[in-house]
Amino acid sequence: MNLGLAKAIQLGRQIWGYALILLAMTVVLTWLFFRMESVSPIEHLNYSRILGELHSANEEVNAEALASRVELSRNYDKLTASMANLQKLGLAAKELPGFVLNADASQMDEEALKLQVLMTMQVQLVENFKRKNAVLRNSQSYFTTESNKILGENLPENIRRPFEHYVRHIHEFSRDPNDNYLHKIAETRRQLANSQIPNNYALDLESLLLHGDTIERYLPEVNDSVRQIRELGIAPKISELGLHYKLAYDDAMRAADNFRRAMYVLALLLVGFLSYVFIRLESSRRLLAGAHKELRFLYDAQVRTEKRLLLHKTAFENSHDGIVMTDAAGNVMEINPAFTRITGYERAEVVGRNPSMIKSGRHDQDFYAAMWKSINSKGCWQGEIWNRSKYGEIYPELLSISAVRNQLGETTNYVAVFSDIRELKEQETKLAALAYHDALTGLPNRVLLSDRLHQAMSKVARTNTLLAVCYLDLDGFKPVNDTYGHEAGDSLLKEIAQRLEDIIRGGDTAARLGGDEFVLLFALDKLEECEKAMHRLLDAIQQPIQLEEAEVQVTGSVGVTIYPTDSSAPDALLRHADQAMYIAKQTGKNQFRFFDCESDFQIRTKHDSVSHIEKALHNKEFVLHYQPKVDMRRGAVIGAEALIRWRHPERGLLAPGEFMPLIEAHDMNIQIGRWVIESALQQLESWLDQGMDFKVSVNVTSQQLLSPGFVEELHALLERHPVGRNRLELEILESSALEDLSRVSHVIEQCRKFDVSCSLDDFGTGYSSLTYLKRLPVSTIKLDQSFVSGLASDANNLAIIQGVLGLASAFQRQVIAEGVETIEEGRVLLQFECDYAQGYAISKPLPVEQFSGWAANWQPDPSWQRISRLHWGSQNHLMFVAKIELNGWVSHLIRAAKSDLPLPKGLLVEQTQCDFCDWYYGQGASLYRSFASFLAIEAPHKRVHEIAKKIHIAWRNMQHDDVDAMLEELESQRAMVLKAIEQLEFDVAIDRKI
Amino acid sequence: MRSVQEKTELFSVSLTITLPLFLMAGLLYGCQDSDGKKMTPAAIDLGKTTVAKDSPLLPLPPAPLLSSERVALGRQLFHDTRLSHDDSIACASCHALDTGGVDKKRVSVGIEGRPGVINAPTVFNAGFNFVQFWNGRAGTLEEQVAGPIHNPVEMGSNWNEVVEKLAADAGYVAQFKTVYRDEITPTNIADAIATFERSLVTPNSRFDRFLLGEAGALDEDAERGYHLFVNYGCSSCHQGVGIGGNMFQKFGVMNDPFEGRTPGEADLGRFTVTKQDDDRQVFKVPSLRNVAVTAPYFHDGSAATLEEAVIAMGKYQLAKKLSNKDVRQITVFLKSLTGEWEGRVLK
Repeated sequence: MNLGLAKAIQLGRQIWGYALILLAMTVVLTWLFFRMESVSPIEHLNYSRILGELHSANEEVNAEALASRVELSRNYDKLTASMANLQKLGLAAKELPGFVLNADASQMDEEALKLQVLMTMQVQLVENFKRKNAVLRNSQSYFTTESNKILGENLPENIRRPFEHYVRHIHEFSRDPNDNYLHKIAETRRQLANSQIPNNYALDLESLLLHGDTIERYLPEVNDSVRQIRELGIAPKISELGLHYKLAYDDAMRAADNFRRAMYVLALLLVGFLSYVFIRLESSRRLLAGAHKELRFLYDAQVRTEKRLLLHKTAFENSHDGIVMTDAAGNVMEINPAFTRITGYERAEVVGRNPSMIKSGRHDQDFYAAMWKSINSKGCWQGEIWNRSKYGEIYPELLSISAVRNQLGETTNYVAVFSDIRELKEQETKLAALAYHDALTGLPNRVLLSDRLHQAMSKVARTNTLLAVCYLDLDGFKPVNDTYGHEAGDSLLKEIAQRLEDIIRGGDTAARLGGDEFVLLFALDKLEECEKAMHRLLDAIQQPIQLEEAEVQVTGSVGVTIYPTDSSAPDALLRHADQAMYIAKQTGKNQFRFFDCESDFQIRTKHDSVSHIEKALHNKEFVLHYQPKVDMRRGAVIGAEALIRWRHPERGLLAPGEFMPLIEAHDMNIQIGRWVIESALQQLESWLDQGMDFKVSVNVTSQQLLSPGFVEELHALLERHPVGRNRLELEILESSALEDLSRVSHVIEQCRKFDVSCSLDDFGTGYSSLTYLKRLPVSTIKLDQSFVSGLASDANNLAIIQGVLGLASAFQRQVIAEGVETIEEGRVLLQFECDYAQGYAISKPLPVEQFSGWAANWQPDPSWQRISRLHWGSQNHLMFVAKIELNGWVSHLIRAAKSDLPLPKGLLVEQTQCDFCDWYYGQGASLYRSFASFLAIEAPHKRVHEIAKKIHIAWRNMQHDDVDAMLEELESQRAMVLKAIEQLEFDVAIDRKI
Repeated sequence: MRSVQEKTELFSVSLTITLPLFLMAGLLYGCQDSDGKKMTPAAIDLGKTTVAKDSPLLPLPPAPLLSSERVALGRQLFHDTRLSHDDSIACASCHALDTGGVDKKRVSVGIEGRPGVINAPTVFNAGFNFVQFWNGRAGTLEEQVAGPIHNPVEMGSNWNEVVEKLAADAGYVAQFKTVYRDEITPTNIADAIATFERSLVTPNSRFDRFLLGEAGALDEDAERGYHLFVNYGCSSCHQGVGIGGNMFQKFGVMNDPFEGRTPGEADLGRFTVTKQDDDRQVFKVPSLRNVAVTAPYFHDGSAATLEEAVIAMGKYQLAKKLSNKDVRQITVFLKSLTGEWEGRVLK
């Protein structure tokens, strides 16, 4: 804006300069205009006319002179008038037009002067002519008249003749001024003069001769005069003047033209200049307008701001809430009238001081500290505060303090707004009272009870005491109500309430829930106190009550639960107490009953879980996944174990461990089991339809097995799904079959009749595996995965497996190893003649859609294939063990070294302590010494020990870098050993020729 | 109230419009032909006449169209004695309108009774004289006005005096303001007087009526006299509408009237103007109109009667002793040249 205005002002000043230029141009233009205009056509026309008229006037003069001479004109009026005109014109011709340039003017003046001279001469000549001509004319007239008269008279003859001749000659001469005639005239005149003239004619003749002489003399003179007039050369002079004038005119015109052109140019310049000035003016105006607009805008904004300010001021002044504005230091800058109204302090008393003067002293340091902390961190604080008014009155405020921050984040002011909430507080209290207490009896209501309960529970937790939660229901209240009316009932309730209040002690609570239901909370040190309290309570209730109408009596049924013995949530506690009360009512009333926790919990949980699972089953949220079982040796998929999964809508895919325990010993369990079997059968059918023949085993609990109608159901299922025969297998959890062995056995027998085989799952983990093996006619034993894992490096498990395998073969049961997690494990199992396996090394449980595809593509691991045709006699088993042991301890060592664990003692260092060495130098040597592979073992084996020793020392000496390097070598040496052993294994194996 | 912005806008707009307009108007005006001087026709309208323009004697044309205001003012001035030094002599003193425009004296008498040197010519028809004064020293009637005023033996005054005296008269001041829209100046005074003098035309003389075809306007003698006038050659000099007054001529063409006496200042005639020897005793040929009422005759008033004048003319100009009959007839003719003014025949 400033720029625009400044520019406009600057332009405004420049305007004066422009005005000056404009003025100068106008002056020049005007001058040019006059110079241009000076070639006035009027003047030119006038002067040209004058010149023209000069010509004609001159001609007129000549003509008139001539006319006068020849008596064509016998008066001089015309000639005189023409002369006068000519004179006038001559004078007029001297007045040159103004536009004639000076050079030309001087020339023309010269010419005019010359003309004037000629004209002056002309005047003279003309006057002379007039005179002479008049005399001539006069004499001619007289001569003619007189001569005629005389001739008419009788003249003597001697005179007559010469007289006649004389007269005739004069007349002839008059007509033609010829010298001849002059001669004759002279002669005749002489004659006359010499003659004797009679006296009477003497005078007349004398005068006549005089006139004749005059004629003689004047005629040539007059002619000459006329000729002179005509040859004066005025006409050429006039023409010359005219020529000069024309030149002068042309010059003037040219000059005027130049002026005209100059004027035109100047006019254009003027227009251009004016345009420029106008443009500048316009831009100036625009700038001004722009500045004006800006100013306007700012002004409007200002006005708006002022209006807003006024508005804010109004708000500030008229607010019912008190407002204080302080500076950053907290000193009051401004207050509003409400502040004074509430606190009593006038403006002058507080401005510049800290509002802390109105502190009531009710709040501790922490309160104010927390308040300021909130203000400084969050920028505001709001809450109730008690302050002291000027007159010492302490009153509650609802206060909110805000920190005003500038753009840099620094606090510049604090604004506090507060309202006097005295009345509010009173009302609050009243309301609270109302909110928390029963209107009729004044006892705490349900809400307050809840609060009291919480408090009591936390107190109990703190002080290690007990809390009795008692649910009281009055017996016989309804009849009173019915008989005596509601008012009586109310009175009764009030009386009871009073009695309850009397009974309870300070920390206890008696509350009315509604109707004739009450809850009491007793704080107890010991459980025994409760009973006492209960008796007291029951006593108090059953005392007669005096109503207006009559005396009545009621009793109470009380249910009690003790917290924290009953460790439920508060509402649960009440519920328990209620349940107990219910029982009390049912068992005769006017008594109290304690709540039983345990069974309640179980029932509930179970109840909850079961319903969920029931729902899930209904919603088909369960699905079977199939973990393949394979024959490792033959490389074939023999079947799958069906494992239930729960596709939980919220929790995702749940394994059975996450939900099955919840329905343990519940009917739901059996339902699920039923579903599993049916689903498996359906799947078998489906696979068979696709041309795949698999066996499927499902897990069943002994509960299910022993559930009534299980066999029949199974039979019915098999009827519906005949494919299940010889394909369906039931896996019975070993431990679950504990209960009723004979019945389970019987069921298994029954199943066998349907061609449904059974297997013992997790074999080896139960207490009486051998008993099961003996008593249950299962066809398969599933070797528990706890024995299978770590098989490659844990010789202990190996021993067990050996045992189990031995047992199984003895009892002619099949064995399948569960939880085969590594290829090496599988290999070892194969070496020990355990061909069947399932586990993650083979596959995790697969969804149906993936199973058939997997089965089609599965190949046993190459290391299994290599030994599939091989057989080792039992004498070689030690070799296997030794290998495993070596592997084991080296791995152990490596693991320990890498993980900062203390190194395993014993085995490693000395060969003497190594079991592998025992075997190697013992049985191994005796059996296999002939084998090169056996001999190849020795060196790396020794090396292993050496390195191990070194590692041990280095470890002790904290030379960790060396340890790492040596570990590498250790591993490589071990690998060599293992390789050699492997070779040996191959060497000693027997081909099966299957 | 307009806002500042609106005002400036208005201003610039109006300026944009009006300034060029002004410029254009100015240019146009300047280029316009100014109303220049109107050209006056040079021709003199002789009016209706049956007489051929080339005949020696012509009838008087009608009086010219003159500004009546100026004529009235001029008449007043003509009769105003304040034009003379001692407020005793007015133009009318020597050129009285009711005495034929002359004072009937041989020579006029000026202020303080100072005798003049020359005979006062008639003021009537003086407008037709081609020059004024016997020696033609004034080209126009306007120029003539200054003569008597400044002549010591006539009015003996000067312009300043006259203007002063006239300016003291509020009536004159107002009149001049009205008539000339100007102050009292010599030019205006002369113009007024001259304008008045031009109005002194005396038409309807018997001869004019004769020339215009009126039968019986002239009796026999007068007509005879007219013919003699022409045939004797009198009309060689006394010709035109003024029957004279349009040329100079020597007084004494054939014989010298000043023979035996010394010519005085007044007798020098034209010589006093041209200084040419030829012009000694050359005078303006006087108009013979109203000659019957303007005795005595000739520049020196040497002829007391018309007959004497005629005889003198015959003697000096014609060298002829006219017969009594000729003289009588010519005189009768000359008497027929008396015209009318303001409806009355001049006396």
